[in-house]
Amino acid sequence: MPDKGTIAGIGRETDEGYVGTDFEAPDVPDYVVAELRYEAPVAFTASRFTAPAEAAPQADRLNDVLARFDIKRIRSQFGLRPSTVRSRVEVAAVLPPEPSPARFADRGVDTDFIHSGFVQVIPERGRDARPIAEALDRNDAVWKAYVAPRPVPAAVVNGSAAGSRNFEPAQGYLHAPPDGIGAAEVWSLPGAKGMGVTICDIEGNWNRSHEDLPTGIPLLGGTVIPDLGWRNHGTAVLGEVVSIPDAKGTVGISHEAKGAVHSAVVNGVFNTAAAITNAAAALSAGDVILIELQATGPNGKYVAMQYWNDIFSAIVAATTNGITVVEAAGNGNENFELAVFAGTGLQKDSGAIVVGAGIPPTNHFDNDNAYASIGVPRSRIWFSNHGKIVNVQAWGWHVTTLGYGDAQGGRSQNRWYTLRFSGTSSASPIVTGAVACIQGRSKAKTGAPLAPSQVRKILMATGTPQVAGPGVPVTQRIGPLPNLPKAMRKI
Amino acid sequence: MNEGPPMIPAVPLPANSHIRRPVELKLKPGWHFDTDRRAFVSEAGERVTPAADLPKRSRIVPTVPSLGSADEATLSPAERDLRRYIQVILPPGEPPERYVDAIRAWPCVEQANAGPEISLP
Repeated sequence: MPDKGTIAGIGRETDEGYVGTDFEAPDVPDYVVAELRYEAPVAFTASRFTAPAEAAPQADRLNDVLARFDIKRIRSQFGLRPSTVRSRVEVAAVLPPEPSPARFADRGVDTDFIHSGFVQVIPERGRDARPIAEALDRNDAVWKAYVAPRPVPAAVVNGSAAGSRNFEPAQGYLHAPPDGIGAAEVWSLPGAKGMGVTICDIEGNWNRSHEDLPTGIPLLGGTVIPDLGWRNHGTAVLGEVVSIPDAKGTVGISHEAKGAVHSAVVNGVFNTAAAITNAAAALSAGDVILIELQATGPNGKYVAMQYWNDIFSAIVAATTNGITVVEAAGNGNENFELAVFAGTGLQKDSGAIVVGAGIPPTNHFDNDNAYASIGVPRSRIWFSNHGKIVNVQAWGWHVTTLGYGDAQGGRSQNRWYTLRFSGTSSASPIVTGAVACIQGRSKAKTGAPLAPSQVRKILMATGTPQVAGPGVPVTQRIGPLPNLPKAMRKI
Repeated sequence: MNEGPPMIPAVPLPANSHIRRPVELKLKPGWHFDTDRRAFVSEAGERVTPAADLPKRSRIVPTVPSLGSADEATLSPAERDLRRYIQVILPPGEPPERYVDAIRAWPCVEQANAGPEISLP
């Protein structure tokens, strides 16, 4: 594999793409992930698979596999409650073979159901993981079983030698409201996949060579920050909006939109205002700028970038020119209504769509052995900033997209995927994709895009409302979760 | 609220990034930076020469250079406002906070602050 070049902190660029070189493998034992077929009425406990009498042979065959090995534990890949896992049996029992989730949403095929079929089988000995996976993979009740890939680049070859897996079933944010934004439901409308819209992401680094991104995403300007964390972040953002719809990886919310990127580093310093202005100059009315940055505010907490006056003016200028600006509210657990923010951009309308982070339906921490909920779906997640300028929310946890390598690792970063992108960072691209779908639909239907203020108004008026959770009342405003099927009716 | 783990999602700037934080300032109306004279000049002909207050090898640049040469009449109010912002890029190792007060005292300056400490949300 000839090297094309080395980037400090990231790895080598080779014919296989970027190959990481300089971070250590985490101390994680090998385990198996088995994906139960939607139509298999099988559940599981901590030690075995279970099924009602009429489907008992399916569970028996799975347990026969387990009996050949020392199994330490079985648990939900997504940390679902045992009651949620048990309830999948009733839904699965009435499904036809290989059902389309969207078609059977009214029969309980929701995000919890889909995620309940992902089972972790943890052997006592790591070397048993592969034979367990192979045996389960041959089982009729299992769609696919595999050794969980490690996010480790060198020395361990895993994951995707024969092609990457399809992670679309885990993209719950695409699903029908109230769980998701209903993107998949509107894609059949002309233009509603973001056709004719360009999205420019402003942050610091991206893997634009990722296998699931369209080729030729341009760097419009700025200097890339050579850091793996920043690179994974940008890659994850692009994946949510423009990843390619095929049999592998993920599918972007607005996968017919064009992607572009601009680094916020200009002349060796951060200059977000220049990045916004330069990006806006390269875009047209109807296009979208996403600000994927936050900075430390006067209370020492992270706040949205429009707090700074030059950035506020740059956003106003862009939206005045018809470009919708989507902006992460930031992860500071900060209240923008505090007196310290009076007169600043955190209490004024820049024209941007400011995005808070809400709790998704898969609302748990990835603790080792216990289910630990983070709260009520669509309530404010504990770190999200909140206030009157925060217009809409989206998933701030467990977002499946590109990069990081916890879902699929391997030598090449071009094949890395994650189930765990989070923060107002993961929420903002969901809203960005929704905006591109709306603008693409508007162009196709009326021949013109909507004004940014109209897009924002539609998203806020049609979204699935924010709800309260313990300690997080709706007065800590993050707004509703976009509902694209309803939004499309307003165009 | 359920107590989450003691963490806030954020990706800080890597320590070895060599990305400096500038001092950011906004000029009072009627002032601009004359790059040839390396001085701030007002419409009334007043002049402020900043070199004495800054370390050597400091650079002074418009925050959005592309607006600097634009015809004022073609700019929106927000763009005209944005044109008044300037970055003072200090040499490596110079903390911007050390120079904010001096810069704020220049008669051409409406406001000044150290550039934000940026991370990923």
